[in-house]
Amino acid sequence: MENKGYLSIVLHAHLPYVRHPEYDDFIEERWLFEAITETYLPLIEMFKRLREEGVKFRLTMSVTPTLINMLRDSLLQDRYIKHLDKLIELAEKEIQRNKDDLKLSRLSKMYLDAFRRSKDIFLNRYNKNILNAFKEYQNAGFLELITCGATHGFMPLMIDREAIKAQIKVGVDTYKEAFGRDPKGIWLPECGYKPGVDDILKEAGIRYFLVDTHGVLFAEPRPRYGVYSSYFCASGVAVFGRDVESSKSVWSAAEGYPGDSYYRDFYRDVGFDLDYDYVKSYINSDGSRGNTGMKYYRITGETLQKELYDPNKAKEKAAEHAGNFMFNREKQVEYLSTFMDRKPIIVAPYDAELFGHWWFEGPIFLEFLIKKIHYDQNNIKLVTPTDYLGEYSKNQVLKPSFSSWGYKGYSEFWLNGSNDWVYRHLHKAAGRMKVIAAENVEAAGLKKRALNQMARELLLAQSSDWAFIIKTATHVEYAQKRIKEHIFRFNRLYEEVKSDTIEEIYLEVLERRDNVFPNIDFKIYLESKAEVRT
Amino acid sequence: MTKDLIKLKRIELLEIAKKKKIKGFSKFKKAELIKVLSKEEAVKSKTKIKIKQKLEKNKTAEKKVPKKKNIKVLSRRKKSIKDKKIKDIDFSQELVESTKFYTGGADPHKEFDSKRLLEESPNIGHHYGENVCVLLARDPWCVFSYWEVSITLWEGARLKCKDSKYREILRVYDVTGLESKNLNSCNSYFDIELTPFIESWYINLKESGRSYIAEVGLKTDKGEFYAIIRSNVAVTPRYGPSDLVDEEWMVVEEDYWKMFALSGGYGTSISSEELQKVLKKKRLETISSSAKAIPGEKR
Repeated sequence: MENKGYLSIVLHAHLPYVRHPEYDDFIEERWLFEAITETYLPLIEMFKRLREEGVKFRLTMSVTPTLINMLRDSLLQDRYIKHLDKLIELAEKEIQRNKDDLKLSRLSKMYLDAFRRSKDIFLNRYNKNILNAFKEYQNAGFLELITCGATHGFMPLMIDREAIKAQIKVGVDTYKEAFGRDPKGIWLPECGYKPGVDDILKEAGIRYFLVDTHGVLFAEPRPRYGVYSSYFCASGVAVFGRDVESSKSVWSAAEGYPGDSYYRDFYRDVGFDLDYDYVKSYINSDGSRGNTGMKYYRITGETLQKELYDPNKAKEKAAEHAGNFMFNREKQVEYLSTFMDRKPIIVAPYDAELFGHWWFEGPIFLEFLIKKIHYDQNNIKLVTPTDYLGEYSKNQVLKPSFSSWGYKGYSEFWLNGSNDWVYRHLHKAAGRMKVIAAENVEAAGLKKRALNQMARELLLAQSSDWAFIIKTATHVEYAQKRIKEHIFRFNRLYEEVKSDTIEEIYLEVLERRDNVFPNIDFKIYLESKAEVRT
Repeated sequence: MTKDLIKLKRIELLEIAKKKKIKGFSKFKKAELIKVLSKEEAVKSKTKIKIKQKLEKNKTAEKKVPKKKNIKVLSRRKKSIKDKKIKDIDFSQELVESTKFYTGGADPHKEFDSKRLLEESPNIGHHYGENVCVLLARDPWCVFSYWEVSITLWEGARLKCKDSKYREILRVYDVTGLESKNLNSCNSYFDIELTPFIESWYINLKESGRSYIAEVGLKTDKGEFYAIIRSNVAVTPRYGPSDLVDEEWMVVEEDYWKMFALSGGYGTSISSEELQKVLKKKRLETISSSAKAIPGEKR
């Protein structure tokens, strides 16, 4: 029997560039380490199991340029192994501590196994560079990797066309370096789109991007198939809209699956629960209590009296939720296909780190889902946006609406009283970069290095993560510091280039510290012919 | 208790619910009734946990998006779809995303500054010694403006005011559809009186899908306006469906709203009239903060 519609799951793997060689240990580098252990490696293991079992699947995944740069960085790779070794040591101690409690010691063992397995895969199978895993599964036809803005800069709040162009261009180049081919799609940072961005995508050779639901629903003219089809912008670049239902069942804390009482509680970590001296060397390096990754309790309910986590029960739940998710998608396509004259596509985009890091059982959920789709039904088929475009090459042409997938659907989360001060600096720097690049097209040697470094500093300052973090009030001081540092470094280099007084030692320090995008060429900031359309 | 309830028919359960004065019970499905009623009972009895487990099983039997949460949430959910959807504007996605950056305490740097010796952040100031005014569209209902104006320009404008009293003004022009850059031919404009020394402002707007230009200047009590600096054009997105229909990809009104309802997760039972009301209501929620203009950060 032929399928009635398609499901496209898109995982967005992203972390801002955090790498501090000037410190022995840096708290925010843990963002990456936790994501590797809890999300990226479990996903890679899942790919492997599915392939070995002969389950065909198609997933789309963005690995952002900053993440690519961190995953291939030898300092961070070695620090990750050190981090894992500490975790293995802690888990061993935990087994000892819990030896009289069978249930607890089993949980400790579960973590020990996971940490050891992580080390084995990371070190032995992929020689510290897990980008090779993603590449391998893309080449084998299971994954479609897409790119993203260089540093996840939020494009709707950029003024200069060149600033947007540089984000996209560096995104494309980094992708090529890492995966050895051209990216077909892009995840616009925060799904932030404004009219005109697609023209720049076109120039960069990108074939499609994703927007939030209202980006398509409020498009001009009216979209024929809601969010359940691909469309073309006038530029010829395709656009897909996010499906609300499938999104909410995973994202929503209240109604979504991850809030189930049998799932593991994210916040109850031994880093907080155990005697301070005992956990001291496994928590934050500044001595503050923090996550270790070892968590023994389940969500239980709105109570502080948490019950012990039961992995088998949680696994059952994940299977059940996967069944439910599939059932709902089947119903969706069945209904849609009664009045659509083409097969609908349901696009379900998520942060990759939601699976595993936030929702511990997320990767097993995905695995169950993929298997169920493979074995249990014929209504839906997993595809990537490229696959869908292969089937439907004729699409309605429309102009998507300015939109983002953030709070209230536009730019408010990145532009409000807490973080609006950053834009005058970002705009100024982008304006300066554009002009100074044009003035120094022929630059060579030291000057060229300085200009390239300016491009890095500007891009790093533009990460939407800083404004996001400032708004959510988690690591505010760090985020503010990052913006200020990159702007400061940019401006200092700017003055030095202007006055021809480049201080090589300073430049070298910056090149070592902010070593992202080693092959960047400042000429990406040169004006291209087309004017920005807004 | 739950066991007993399961044996009953829905009608019988409805009667019990009626007696117990449970709100909105008439629309409840059997499993939901059991949940509500046994919860009531559970408060009294000590078998709470057991019942809870039973309830978990009931939920799965239902083959629906799992519902956790208590009675309150449940009854709220059972209100009309419209109400439910409007309440959906929340931070849940941001909360989940922020866990990526969660390592422990609220702000490890703040709490442990003394222990964590970080290099000091450089001071980057707020000014570049230039004259600039930028207008950014934040959403359909709000544009943000920041500016920097040299003392020389301020003085120049002050001289023009001569002896008249004057105020600092942000004038916002609606230039939608305008070809020329001549602001005299703008569609309309309005003035915002600025708080002295403020250098940015959030401007709330009544209409979406428009283009604006802002000017900072001085306005005398005689009504004369002396502009000091002019911004770029900012285009706000239109909120709501386009009025344009594609001839080649014809979609009739009714079908459009059907697809709209499905795309937006409103289900299949909502009419286009209802949907348009939802959009209107939702619009109120999307509106940025208060109806007044809000000053930006003071420098």
